[in-house]
Order: sequence, then C-alpha cells, then structure tokens
Amino acid sequence: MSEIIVDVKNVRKIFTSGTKKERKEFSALEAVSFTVSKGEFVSLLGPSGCGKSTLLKIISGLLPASSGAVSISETGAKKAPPFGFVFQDSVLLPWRTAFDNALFPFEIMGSKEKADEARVKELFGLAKLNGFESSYPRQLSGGMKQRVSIVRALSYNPPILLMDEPFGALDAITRDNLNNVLLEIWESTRKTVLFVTHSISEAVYLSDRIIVMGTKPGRVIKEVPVNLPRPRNEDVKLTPEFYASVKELRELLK
Amino acid sequence: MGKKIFIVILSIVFLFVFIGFWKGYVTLNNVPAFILPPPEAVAQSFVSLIRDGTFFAEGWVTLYTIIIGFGIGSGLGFFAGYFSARSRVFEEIISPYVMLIQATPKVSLIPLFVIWFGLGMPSKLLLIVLSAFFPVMINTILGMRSIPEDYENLMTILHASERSRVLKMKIPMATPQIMAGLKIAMVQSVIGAIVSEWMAGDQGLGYLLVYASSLYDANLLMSAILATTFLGLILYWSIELVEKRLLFWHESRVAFTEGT
Repeated sequence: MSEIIVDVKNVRKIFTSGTKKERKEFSALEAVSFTVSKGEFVSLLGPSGCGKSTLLKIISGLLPASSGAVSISETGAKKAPPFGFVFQDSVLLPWRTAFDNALFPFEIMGSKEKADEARVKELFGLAKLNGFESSYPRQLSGGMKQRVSIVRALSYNPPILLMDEPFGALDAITRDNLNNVLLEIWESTRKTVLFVTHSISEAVYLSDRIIVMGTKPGRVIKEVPVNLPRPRNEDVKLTPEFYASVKELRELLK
Repeated sequence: MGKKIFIVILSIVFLFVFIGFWKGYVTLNNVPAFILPPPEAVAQSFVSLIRDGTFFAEGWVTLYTIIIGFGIGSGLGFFAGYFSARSRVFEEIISPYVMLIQATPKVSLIPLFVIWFGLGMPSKLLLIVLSAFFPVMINTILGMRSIPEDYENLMTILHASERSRVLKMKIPMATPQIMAGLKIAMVQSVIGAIVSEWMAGDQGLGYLLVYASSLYDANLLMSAILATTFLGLILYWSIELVEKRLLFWHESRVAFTEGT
C-alpha cells in the first residue's frame, strides 16, 4: 500500500462569471493536495458546495484545473482510460440492453476481445445482475441500473474507479445494498477507488481513508484514516470503532 | 380484453348513429343534394372515383409532392437544428430569420411563389419544404439540448470520436424529439400540399377540391375531402410506424408494449 497512483498537487479551481466589466470570481477549490495509493479505497467527504465533484472532474480530465496538477501513474489497456467513472445517475443508453450497455466502452474504443466479454459476464455475477443481461434500462430499478453502470465502468478493466456520489439518488435501503455490492466487487478486483459522497456513515463503511472537505472555499480540512477490519459487513456498523469514526467526522464537518 | 372490444363496438355504433343522423337530417329537411348530399350518394361517388382511378391519379400527384417536399424540408430542418444545437453563434445568427419566417403564415407566401416560380411544382414544393423545415429544426435543437451533461461526460471519458459521439449517443438520444418534430412536419406538409394545389395547381387532390367546389358538385367535394383525410392518415401512420420501431425503448412506448 505504498505505490502512489493518484497524486493531486495544489489544485485550484476558480470559476468566473458575469460580464467583462464586472467579472466575478468564485474559488471552488483552494490548493487541494492529497494522494491515493494502489488498491486503496479513499472517499472525498463534504457538504454540498465543497467542490468534491469538481475535484473528481478535474482528476478525470473532464474539467481543467486553474492551477496545480493531477498525475495518474497508471495506464489503461490499449486505448482505454486508466479509470472508470460512475456518475450520480446511471447514464445508461436506453435503447441498449444491460449487457450491451456494459459493453458500450468497447464499441467506442473499437476493440473487443473474447476475454472482455467474459470479464463483463463475470462482473454481472459480482454485481448480482445474473439473468438481467437482456433487460432494457427502463425495466430495471434504480439500484440495478446503477450496478450496470458500475459494471460498465469496470468493463475495460481500468486500475482506478472514480465514483461521483453514485448512490446519492437512491433510497436508504437500496443504498445499503449497493454499498455491500461495491465492497464485494472491490474485495475481488482490488481497484483503486476514489469515492465522492456526502454521507458520513457511507464513507466510514467503505473507505480506508477519508479526505474531509469544507466549503468557501472548497478545501481539504483533514485526512482521516479508517481502521476497521476488512472484509467488512453490516455488523461493523454496530461497533464502537465505527461510532467513534462517525463522531469524529461529524465534529469536523460542523 | 373485454374493455377493448367494448370500445371498438361503441365506436362503430357511434359511426352508424352519425350516418343515421346525417341521413335523417337530409331527408326530413329536404336539403338539396348540391349542399349536403345523403351519405349513400357520397359513398357511391367515393367508390366510383376509386374505380375509375381518379383518386389514384390525383392522389399520387399529391403524395409524391408531399414526399419530396417533406423529405427535403425535414432533412434541411434536421441539419439546421443539428448545427444550431452545436454552435451558439450559428444559432444566434440565424434565429431572428427563423423566427421571422416561422411567424409568417406559410400559406401567405404562395401568391409570391406563384409570381416567382409560376403555377407548377417549384411553388408547391417550396411551400411544403418551408412547412416541414421548422418543426423538425426546432425539435432537433430541443432534442440535442436536452441530453443530460453526464452523457457528454461519459463519451469524453471514453475518448469517443466526434463521429461516434454523434451517431452512437446524440442522435439516438434526440430521436424522441426529432420524431415528434417529423410528425408535426408531416401534418404541416399535407396541409401545405393541399393549399398549394388550390392556388398553384392543375392536378392533385387539392385541385380536385377546388374543381368540385366550382362545379357545386358536393358529392365529388365530400369524396375528395375523404380521400385527403385518408392520405393524411396513411402518411401520419407511416411516421408513427417508424417511430414505434425506433423508439421501442422510450417511456412513451412502454404503455403499448407492457400494458397489454
């Protein structure tokens, strides 16, 4: 757990708005630095407006940073990006079946091998989606759609998984289920995960380390390690250690 | 299932009631046949016009005028919409003109077209092209603009080429709105064709309507109206058929595929 995979150095993001005469500047991120090691599960935790989603977009290259740098010392297979991205909504193509949605990245990248299809099939099993391969998105529940979306993000076997509040739109029960599914997938694939959330208990339950962020301007307040044993299951949520972590984070976010 | 049959029976009963009422009104009030002929006379005239091929000859002229005009108009509308949705600058340059032409009742342009292009096909086509253009353009813009941002982000992350971004994501995502535009465009095209044939034609169903009116031949007139209705329906249904095939996945179709 020492090799650094994602290195974020002094990243700032300033959004400008208004007219040329009255330019308004808004600092979304102020000198953010942190690293993520290989195989680590790290969460970015903070209230709305702390810039955690903006930060994830900068890391994935969807947004440019105003200053600072992000380096990712892993490469994807062939033309594939080194990371898979899971959005808050499932972003599935409604005219494709669940399985074809999961294979969509190969169609875009123009390369698919027998092994790829086998891996997606296996991921369907891990995500407990067996039997739903030929269902269309509208026939699936919100939780299942999000699981297909996770399978799609992992389909081309990227070393890193970036997740932007992936369970934020789901009800609490479905969310708990998906946390467990995600943990199982993580245990068996050991991807490096960077997970954005505003749920304290979710962050504690899933992560090795939590980067706590604050607002105005968006910045890192503290990095909090989570020393709960792995593999974890629901029982861990009843331990005093779990409560202690939750309490500490709650204090930090006040 | 029982409910469906009930509805079908009821609508057939309603049709007969309507025809009965029509017949009763004409007979009891001694309405002259050149104003409102009895239903059986209209039916007879309709059948004989099909038999002697008049409807097919005139209908064919109207049909291919519509198909050519609709094809050109909706094609241009799609591209104009596509480029407007892509480029704010392009949209801002053309939008005042688009608004201006859209606010003008297209029909009011026919006399001008007649002066410019005469009484033939070009005048008719131009009107239909204009009628079909705007609904498709506006709906294409709407469709392209209502794609959620994360779909664009997904394609960016996958390093999608512009070509696959457009063909594999944007156009399919915008298809529900584009199809809605095509349906409106088809209705407008039929209207455009009929009206232009009134003024600028010596053939077609629209011409047949004016011709019948000038002869006070109410049988012919009502049969021609019926033929026009059928033509409009067939064209509208063919668009719906295409829509059904393309949009099997869309919410608006779920009720049809899963409800029964």
